Amino acid sequence: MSITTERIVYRYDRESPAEEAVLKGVSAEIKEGLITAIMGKTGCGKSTLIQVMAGLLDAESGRVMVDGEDICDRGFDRTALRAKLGVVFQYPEKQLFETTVAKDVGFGLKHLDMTDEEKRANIRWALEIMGFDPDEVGGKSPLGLSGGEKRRLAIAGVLAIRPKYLILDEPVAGLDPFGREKFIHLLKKLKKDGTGIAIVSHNADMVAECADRVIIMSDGEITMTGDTKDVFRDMESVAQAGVDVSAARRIAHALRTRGIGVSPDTIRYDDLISEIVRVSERGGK
Amino acid sequence: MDRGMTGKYVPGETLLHRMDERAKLLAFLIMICAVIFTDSPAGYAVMFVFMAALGKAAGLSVNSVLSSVRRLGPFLILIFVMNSLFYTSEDPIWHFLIFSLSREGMIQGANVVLRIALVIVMSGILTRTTSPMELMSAIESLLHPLRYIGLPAEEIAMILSIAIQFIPTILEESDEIRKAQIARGARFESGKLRERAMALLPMIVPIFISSFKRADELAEAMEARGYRGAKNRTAKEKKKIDLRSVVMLLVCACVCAVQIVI
Repeated sequence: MSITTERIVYRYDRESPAEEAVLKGVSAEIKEGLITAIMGKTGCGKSTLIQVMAGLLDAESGRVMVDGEDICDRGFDRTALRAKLGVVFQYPEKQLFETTVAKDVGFGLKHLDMTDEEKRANIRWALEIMGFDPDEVGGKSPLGLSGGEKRRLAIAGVLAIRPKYLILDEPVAGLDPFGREKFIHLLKKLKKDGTGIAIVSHNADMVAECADRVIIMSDGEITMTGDTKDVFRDMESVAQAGVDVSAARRIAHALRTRGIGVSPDTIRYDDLISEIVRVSERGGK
Repeated sequence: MDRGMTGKYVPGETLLHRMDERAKLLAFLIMICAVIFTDSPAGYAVMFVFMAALGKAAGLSVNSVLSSVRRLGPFLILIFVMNSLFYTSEDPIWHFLIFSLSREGMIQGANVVLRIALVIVMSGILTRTTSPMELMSAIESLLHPLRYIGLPAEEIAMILSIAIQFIPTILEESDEIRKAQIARGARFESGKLRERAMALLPMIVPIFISSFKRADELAEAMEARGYRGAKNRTAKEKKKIDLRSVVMLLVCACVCAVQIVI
């Protein structure tokens, strides 16, 4: 089960002098139970791609298949898509509007076929998983929360529908290091429950930490795709797309060029440390 | 964002694009006067031919010029119907309760609709060939003489220019918020009028909040960069008006004069 795009073409300002192709035949896949990171320079088409995947933009040509169904089909029920697929946009805290926290989290549930009891349970679950005490914050105004809390609340609002697929655009931008770590932990937990996750991110450390697969985009096309380790191993090609590899990978590379035999598959801090320990125990080789 | 937005500036190198923006704005005002004086079929013919010529000079297709009028179609029809049915005439064609259909009413309705259409077309041609920044500087220089009677011309121009510059930003942001809410299951298109109005709430509240926040931030940033009101501000450059623009102004003045006469 997956979200697959097949040769998606998308253009902004169609038929105007400012016409610009942002996606030039992109075929990508977001698998259930895996975290897939989409990386690339600003303006390479990442955000457009996820909006096409989520059915928020209609591609000029190509198909978007969600669990084998073409979402561009006329007969396709978009409401069902909304219940299946959650999208967290950049700075989601901007979308809060309800009078209470509980209402805002429950907004997405309004149109879903669920009993009130189930809805309440979902709201509780989403608030708890995002680190809130539902009884304490449920009745508060979302606008009175702090910046970080608003962000977590907005994400809770998307999680409340318990989506099978979750797409996040720069979810950790503007979070403090502690908040980022907690967020990575959350993503791993959701993945374990079987959620298929796509994250758009510039943060290579975060990608190395949690992503199973990486898609690298450049100028509206996919230039690399594969397991995170394999993609990050080829530092040169990654750099060509204007993307950074994780700090741990760079350190491992620097150590290797100085003749210290750490594995080129080292992309995470923890792995780097154990590699250094392993190598030093063997006397530097 | 609405990509086919009517009246949005389209960069270009046409005759109208290159004309002096002050002359264009002034010509626009003269043409509004001309519209006010237009009330005969011959007058409308002159106006529409002139508009077609201007549209051609601006490199616009008939379709794109008319699209803005078409968008207001229902509104224009409503105006026509209201005028036709509520005009108090001594010689109505048809009378029922408070409604009375008359020839005079229909003529007045047609007059109002045609005038509105002309103004829409004119403003479309102006804004499609003049960037917001050019328009701002034109307004500023046209308001300039009013300083002597105590009108804060620069401040007014600054307020307008900020307002205009933020329109695309706010449009873009509302589009983002709209998508985010759709992704959360909001429905903006379907339902009864009341439901649809209520459905706009998820967009309006966030847009207001972020606009106020942005205004605050902008004010702080302007102060931090030394803005102390319009006092002692100097213009970046002073352009001289070119011959072509003067000719255009004269032509517009002639059209206006013709409308007054016929």
